[in-house]
Amino acid sequence: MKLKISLTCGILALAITNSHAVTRVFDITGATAFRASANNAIISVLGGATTEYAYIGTKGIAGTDRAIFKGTMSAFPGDVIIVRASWSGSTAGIKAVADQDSTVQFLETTNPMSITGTNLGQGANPAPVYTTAIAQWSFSDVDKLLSERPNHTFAGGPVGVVPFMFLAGEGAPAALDNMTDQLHATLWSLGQLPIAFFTGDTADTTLVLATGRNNGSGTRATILAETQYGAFTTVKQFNATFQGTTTDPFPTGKLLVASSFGNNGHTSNGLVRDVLTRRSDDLTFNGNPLDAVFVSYLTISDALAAKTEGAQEMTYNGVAFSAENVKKGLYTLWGYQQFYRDADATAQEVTFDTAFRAAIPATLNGTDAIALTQMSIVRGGGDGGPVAPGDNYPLANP
Amino acid sequence: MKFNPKRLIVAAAAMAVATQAASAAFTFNNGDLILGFQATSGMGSTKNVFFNLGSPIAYRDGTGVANIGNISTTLNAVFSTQTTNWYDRSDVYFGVIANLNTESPTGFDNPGQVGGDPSRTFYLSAPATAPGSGLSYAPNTFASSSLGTAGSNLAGLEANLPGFTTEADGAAILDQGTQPVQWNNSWTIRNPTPGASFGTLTGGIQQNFGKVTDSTYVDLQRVLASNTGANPTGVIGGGTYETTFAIGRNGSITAVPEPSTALLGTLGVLALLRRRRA
Repeated sequence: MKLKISLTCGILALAITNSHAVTRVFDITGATAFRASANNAIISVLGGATTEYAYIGTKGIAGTDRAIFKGTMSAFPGDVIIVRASWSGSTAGIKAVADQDSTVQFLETTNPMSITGTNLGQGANPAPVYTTAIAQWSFSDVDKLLSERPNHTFAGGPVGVVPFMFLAGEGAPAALDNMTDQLHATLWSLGQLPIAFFTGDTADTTLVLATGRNNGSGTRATILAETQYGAFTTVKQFNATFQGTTTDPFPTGKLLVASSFGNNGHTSNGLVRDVLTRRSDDLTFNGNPLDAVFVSYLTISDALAAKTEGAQEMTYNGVAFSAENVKKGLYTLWGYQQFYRDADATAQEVTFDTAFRAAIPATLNGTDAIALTQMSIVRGGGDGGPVAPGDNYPLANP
Repeated sequence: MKFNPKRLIVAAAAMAVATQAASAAFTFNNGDLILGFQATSGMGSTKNVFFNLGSPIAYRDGTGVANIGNISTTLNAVFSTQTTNWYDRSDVYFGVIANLNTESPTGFDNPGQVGGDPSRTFYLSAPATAPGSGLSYAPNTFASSSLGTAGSNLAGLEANLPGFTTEADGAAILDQGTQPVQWNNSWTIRNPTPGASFGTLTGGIQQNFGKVTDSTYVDLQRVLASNTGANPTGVIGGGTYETTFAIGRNGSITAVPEPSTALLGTLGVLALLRRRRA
């Protein structure tokens, strides 16, 4: 009798549970620099190979600005979990979450998704359908102290380390291969420098032009902080129109017309990559030929892709990027990736936050982003602060 | 400073700025002369006070208004303690600066001269004990590229100005506590004391209070990166004296005629009186 009652209750309980199965939607915004790792982590936490997703643009799921994912999580048995990503920039993301901005653009849940990824608006796939919503989380390349909401109370903190790389545009002379803090300061305050400052070749009249991210970008703030330029100090940057794809050889692919960005800049790293991966042989300014080559910075995932497309890697203060050089403290062009949650979150959002945050380290590939557990060095004092041995540093700790 | 009917128009415009209703946005047009105040310690050290002196070209051409305004209310509120008036504090500093364009005057993106000022032309203050007595910036003190860097740093401060609220006396206040992001480009950050103003202006551009006199002076100097397109021409990388700004113990802001002009003016008045008596 007792067994029968138990079974009946169990079946009823299952039925009730299933009848309460819901679709839960969690919205994340923030850093474009971390989007490859973030999208990968979302796919992983929602079931890996069984996760359905869709995205926009032409740079794949790793380089998209908007994506939507559907799967399941053990923390929400029986529920359908949808995660929407709107990668708009680190400090813009922090501001949106702090202000509970209801106008953050996301992909509508009705967009078709697949386990191989549906590239919306490309080929035979339907155009993306957008909606707006409040994001509860933001990834950020920089601490909130370098954002427009430095005093807002967030939950969360660092989930990894994100390195960056300086690069010279396609066709740059091989000697344009190193960026120092001094060169960075002068180049970004004036917007241009004779190439001889980098190469020593005073017979070369080529100009080096600075380009980079817009104000509000965590990538930009990280670079400006690390180089001691000042995260909020005005820069002078240039842009250029172009033709062809990033892989088209010159002259099919090339830069066309340079223009002044002033203190503004590109809204994504992908757009910076567009400028660095085309030759500037036919570049003009105000209708006049301009002998110039661009220099900028990218996150490693974009930088490695840009290198295959013609951009030239530069060392930073004489040290080449490698994950090992980052971990050893030799290469310091990196920042902590922050994952901030609005402090006023629901219980379900806290549950998702806990599960997702725990899943992130295992999904980091160790190059584009490095798990904190792999770092035996630390950066004290916030972004741009000194790099020093951590408590787990293998040698005697000063 | 010379007498000119245009001064009446400029004076009216300046008065209009100074009498803006409180809570209106602070008026700033690119290239305007900005008067900035800071305290390096104590009361008011987390705040800056700003006042817009208008176009520097007006002072260069002798059409600038003489009696510019009075901001004693704001200076009192920000810098005066219970025991010490703001004017008696030697740790309260002020300076004046203006720049229209930062592009190289010889570069591919040179925007050309505006009103006789080539790109990278600066108007800078230098402390003075009396009108015209300030140390003039010697030729080649500032390289063109140094002026470009200073211009970039100044641009960050200028970009914040229209976001400030105008006080009843025409001044504006930047408060680190409530505007921490804007503070990164504050007068305090850009004018370390001692240190180079705006990154590259060696020696700084500020004067401090705490003097025994009832007026404290800075001389305004025009610094050129190039004479190409300049009208009038001037000193490359150095200063040409234009006028003197005096901050009075009563909070008044005045442009003081250069000594030679003042002398001419006095002689003119004497001549007029003599003619009337004749």
